[in-house]
Amino acid sequence: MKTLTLARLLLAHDRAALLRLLGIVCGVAVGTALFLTLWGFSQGITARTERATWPDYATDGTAGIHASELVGELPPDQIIISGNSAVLYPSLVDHFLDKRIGVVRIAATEDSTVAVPGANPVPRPGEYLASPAAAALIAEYPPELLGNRYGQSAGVLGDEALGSPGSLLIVRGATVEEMRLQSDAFVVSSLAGKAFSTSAFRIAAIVGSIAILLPVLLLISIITRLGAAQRQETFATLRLMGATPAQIARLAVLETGITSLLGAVAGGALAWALSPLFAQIQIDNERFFAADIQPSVPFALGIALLITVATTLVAWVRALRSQNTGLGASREIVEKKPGLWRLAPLLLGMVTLAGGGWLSSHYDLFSGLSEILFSILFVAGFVAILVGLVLAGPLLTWWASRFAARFSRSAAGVIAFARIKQHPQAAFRAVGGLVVAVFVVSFFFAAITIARVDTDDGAGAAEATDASLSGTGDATGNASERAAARPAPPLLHASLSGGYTVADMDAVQTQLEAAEGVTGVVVVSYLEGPAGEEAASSEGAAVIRATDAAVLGIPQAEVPDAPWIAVPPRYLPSAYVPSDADPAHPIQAAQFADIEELRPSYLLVAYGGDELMCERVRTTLLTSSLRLVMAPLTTAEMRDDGSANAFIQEYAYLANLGVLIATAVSGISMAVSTISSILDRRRTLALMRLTGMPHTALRRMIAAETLLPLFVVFLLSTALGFIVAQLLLSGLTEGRRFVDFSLLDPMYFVVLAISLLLATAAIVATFPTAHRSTALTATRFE
Amino acid sequence: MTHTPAPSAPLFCARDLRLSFGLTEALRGVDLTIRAGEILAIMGPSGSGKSTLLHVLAGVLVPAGGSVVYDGRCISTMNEAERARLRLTEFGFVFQFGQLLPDLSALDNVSIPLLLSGTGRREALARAQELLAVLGLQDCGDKRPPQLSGGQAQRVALARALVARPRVLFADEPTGSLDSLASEQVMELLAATVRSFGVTMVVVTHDPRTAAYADREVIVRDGQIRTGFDL
Ligand SMILES: Nc1ncnc2c1ncn2[C@@H]1O[C@H](COP(=O)(O)OP(=O)(O)OP(=O)(O)O)[C@@H](O)[C@H]1O
Ligand SMILES: [Mg+2]
Repeated sequence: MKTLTLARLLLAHDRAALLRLLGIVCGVAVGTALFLTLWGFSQGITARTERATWPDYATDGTAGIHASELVGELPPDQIIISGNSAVLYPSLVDHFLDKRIGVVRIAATEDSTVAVPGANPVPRPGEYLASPAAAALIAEYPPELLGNRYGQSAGVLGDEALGSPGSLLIVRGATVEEMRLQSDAFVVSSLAGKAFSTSAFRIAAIVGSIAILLPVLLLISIITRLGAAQRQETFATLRLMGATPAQIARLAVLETGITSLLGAVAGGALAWALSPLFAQIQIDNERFFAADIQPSVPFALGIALLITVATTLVAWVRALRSQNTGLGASREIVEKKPGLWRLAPLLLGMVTLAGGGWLSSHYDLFSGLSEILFSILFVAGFVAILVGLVLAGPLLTWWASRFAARFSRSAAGVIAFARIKQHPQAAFRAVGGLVVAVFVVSFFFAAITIARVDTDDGAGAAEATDASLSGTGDATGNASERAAARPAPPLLHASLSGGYTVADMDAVQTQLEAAEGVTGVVVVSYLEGPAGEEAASSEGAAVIRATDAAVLGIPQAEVPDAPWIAVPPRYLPSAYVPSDADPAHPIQAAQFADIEELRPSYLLVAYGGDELMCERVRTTLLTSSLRLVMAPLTTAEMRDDGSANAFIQEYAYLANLGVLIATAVSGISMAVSTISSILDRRRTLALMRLTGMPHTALRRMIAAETLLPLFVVFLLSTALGFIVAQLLLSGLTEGRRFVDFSLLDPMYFVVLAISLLLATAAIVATFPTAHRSTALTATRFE
Repeated sequence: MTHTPAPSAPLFCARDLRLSFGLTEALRGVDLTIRAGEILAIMGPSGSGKSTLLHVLAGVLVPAGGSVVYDGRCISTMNEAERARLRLTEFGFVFQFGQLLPDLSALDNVSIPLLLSGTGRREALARAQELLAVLGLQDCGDKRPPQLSGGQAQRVALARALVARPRVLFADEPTGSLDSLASEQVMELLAATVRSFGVTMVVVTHDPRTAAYADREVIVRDGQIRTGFDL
C-alpha cells in the first residue's frame, strides 16, 4: 500500500504521467481488441466454412451411390442430394445479375430421418427454402425474373445452413425420379460440413496479423516511454531520498499492471462491442455472423490476463534496468549507437525466403512435404523480415541522420537531425509500425503482378473472342474488319444434358423463340464420329443451321450456301479458346452423312435488351422442360468463373484494409512519440522560443524529426517489398519470372498516398500541442 | 568594483509597469530607465518580481498596464511575431541552467541563433568556434551539454547569447547554479565580454557579489522598485 500511496502522490500533478497512463490504457485496449478480433476472424472462418460446406457431400469422402444406381424405393434414413454450394464448385451455381446463388436439390421421403441443416422439414418437390438474403433478393424482383426458377417458396432456410448472413442459397425439393436423371445426384445418409483452409490463406492470415499487431506493440512501447525524461528525474530524486531500485521497480509494476489490466479488459469489451461492425468485413466475398467472430469470454479473459502479465513484466525489467546507471548519473537517457548486428535478422529472413522458394521448386517430387516445408520457411522468413525491419530501422535512421546532419542548413534541421542521431531508436519507433505496413502491402502488390500476368493472358484470349463476337476489340487483319461490321449480340449459353436429337431441338427452338425477350436461338451441335466431339472441335467446327448464323452476328456474305455450316470457335462465346485456333479459318459447309450424327451440345440464346431481360430469359430457360447441365451463363460469367482475379481482388481488399489499420495505429504512434520528444525537451525548447525562435522553426523541427525516419521507412519498405517478392517469385519459378512494375495496381499508389497523408496529418496534429507545451508561460525560467 | 557609467542616451524606458498572475500582483507600477552600454543589476528577495520585470523588459511577457519603449519602439504594443523577431536579432539571454539542447554539440548549440537569423551553416560554425575560443572553450566544441561541467555549460550559454551580436543581454541568475569560484569566473568573463562588445546588460541576481560587477543596481520589493539611483 505504501507503493500505492507513493504512486498516487507522484501522479497527482504530473500531466505527462497521467497522459502516459491514459495512453497505456488506450494502447493496450486497441492492441487487445485487434488481437481478439483477428483471432475471432480466424475462428469465424473455420466455423462458417464448417457450416457452409454441408451440401458438398463429397468433402467427407463418404458420398454414397449415384442416384441412378438406386434400386427400389428411397429409404427414410437416406436422401438424394445434388448441386453444390458455392464453396467448392463455384461454377455450379445459378447467376442473377452480378450475384451467384447456390442451388441444392434434395429428394427425401415424407418420413426422412436425415437431418438437413436449416431445412426442417425438407421442402417437397416443387417447393424451395431460401436463405434470408436469397429470399430478399427474390422478393425484390418479379417472379418471372428470379423466383419462378425455383418453384414455390416454402419458407426461409435456417442460419445453421449458411456461412454468412449474406449467403445466397436455395434448397429445392425434388422427386426421386428427377434426381435419377441428374448427373451430380448422390444418395447419402448424413450431411456434415468440413472446415478446411488452404495453406495460402493460413500464411496470409499469419503474416497479416503480425503486420497489424506489430504497429500496436510499437505504439504501446512508445506510450510507456511518454515523459521518460521527467520520470527518470523523479526516480533519481526518489533514489537520492533513499528508495531502493526494487521499490521503484514495484512502483512501475503497480502502475503498469493496473493500467494494462484496465486496458486489456476494455479491449475485450471493445472487440465484443465492435464485432457486429467487424462482421461486415468481407473475406471470400462473404460477411460474417457476428457470433462467429466473437471470441469466447474465458478466452478473452485469458488473453487479457496474459497481456497484462506480459506488459507488467516488461515494465518491471525496464525499471530495474534503468536503475543500473546508479546514483548521480546524468539526467539524460542515453541510447547506445545502433550496431551492425541489427541488419542480421533482415538478411537472414531474405535468405530464408529466397531459399524457401528455390527449395520448394527443386523438390517437387515430395509435393506434399514441399508445401509444408515451404509454408514454414515462408512464414519464418517473412516474420524474420518484419522483425528485422523493425530492428534494422534505427541503424538506417542513424546513418540517414548523420548524412542529413552534414547537409542541413537550417536551425530546425540541425536540431532535428542531432536529436535523431542521439535517439535513433526512439525516432524510428515512431514510424516503425508504418514500415511494417508499407512493406507488407508493397510485397503483396508486387507479388500479385505475377498472378495478373496469368489472368491477363486469359482475359486477353477472352477479349479476342469477345472482339470477334462484338466487334469492339482490335484483333488483327481481315477478321477484325469483318468483325467490326457485326452487331454485338448478348448471348446466354445453356449446356444441354446428353440424349437430345436435332429433331427434339427443333421443337424447343420454336417454343423458345416465342418467349418474351428472346430474339434468336442457336442450337450448337457437334459431329459424333469415331473420334467423337474432340475431332470436331480440334478442327474448330461446331455445327449450326445456316439460317441461325445471323443470330451470332455472322454476315450473310460469309455464310456458305448449305443448310448446315461448320463454325470455328472464334465465332462462339466460350470460356476457353484454343490458342492455335486459326483466326482466318473460314466458315464452311458442314460435312456429314446423316443428321443423326449431330449431337446438340448447347444453346446460344440471344436476348434483346438489358440485364433484366437477360434474367427473364434465363428464368425462361430454367423453367422450361429442358434438361440442363448447369444454369445458363452469359459470356462474361463464363469467363469470370474460376478466374483468379476475383480472388486477388479479395486479398488486395484485405491488404488495403490491413495497411490502413496499421497506418492509423502508426499515425497515433507518430503523434504520441512526437509529443513525447517535445515534452522531454520542453524546458529547453521553451527557452529557445523565448530567445526568439519563431513558431515556424519549431514546426519545421518537428517535421524534420519525423519526416527523416518516415522517408527512410518508405524507401526501405517499398524497395524491400519488391525485392522480397522478386526473391520469392524467382525462387519459386527458378528465375523465370519477374515482378512486372507496369502491372502494379493503381490502388497500391492510392494506399501509399493515403498512408503518407495520414502520417503527415499525425505530425501536423501535434503542432498545437507542441506549441502550447513550449509556450513561454508554460515554463518558469529562473 | 564599480565603473562610472558612460553618459549615453536611454535605451529602455519603462513606465508604470503592472502585471498580475491571478491574485498575485507581480509588478505594481515599475518605472525604470536603462542607458545604452550600462550593466544594470536587479536585486531583491525571492518572489519580489525580478524575473517578471526582466521578462516584461525583454518582451517575453506583455504588461497589463504601462509601457516599455526600447530604442524608440514600444515593445508592449508589438505582436508576438514582432517581439520574437526583436528578441532574436537584438537581445540575448542567459539563464540559470538547462538552456542548451542536450542532443547538440556545444558548437552547434552556439550556432543556432545565427542559423535562425539566416546565416549560412559554415559561417555560423566559424563564428561560434571563434566565440567559444574567446570564452576559453576552444576544446569543448564537440562535447554535448551533459558532458560539460556547470561552469562550462554556462559559458557555452553565454557564447550562444552573444554570438548573434545582440545589443542587450538579459541574464537571470546566470551564476545561480554554480559554486562561488565558478560563479566568480563566469561573472568576470560575462562582464568583460559584455563591455568589450559594448552590449547593454540587465542581470537579475540576489547575490551581492554578482551585483558588484554591475554599473548600477535597483532593488525590487513587492513588485515595486524601492531603492537604487534610478533617474
Ligand atoms: N507564470 C506565473 N504564474 C503564476 N504566478 C507567477 C508566474 N510567474 C511569477 N509568478 C508569481 O509572481 C511573483 C513574482 O515572481 P518572479 O518570478 O518575478 O519572482 P523573482 O523575484 O524572480 O523570485 P526569485 O528570486 O525566487 O526568482 C511570485 O509571487 C510568483 O509566484
Ligand atoms: Mg526569479
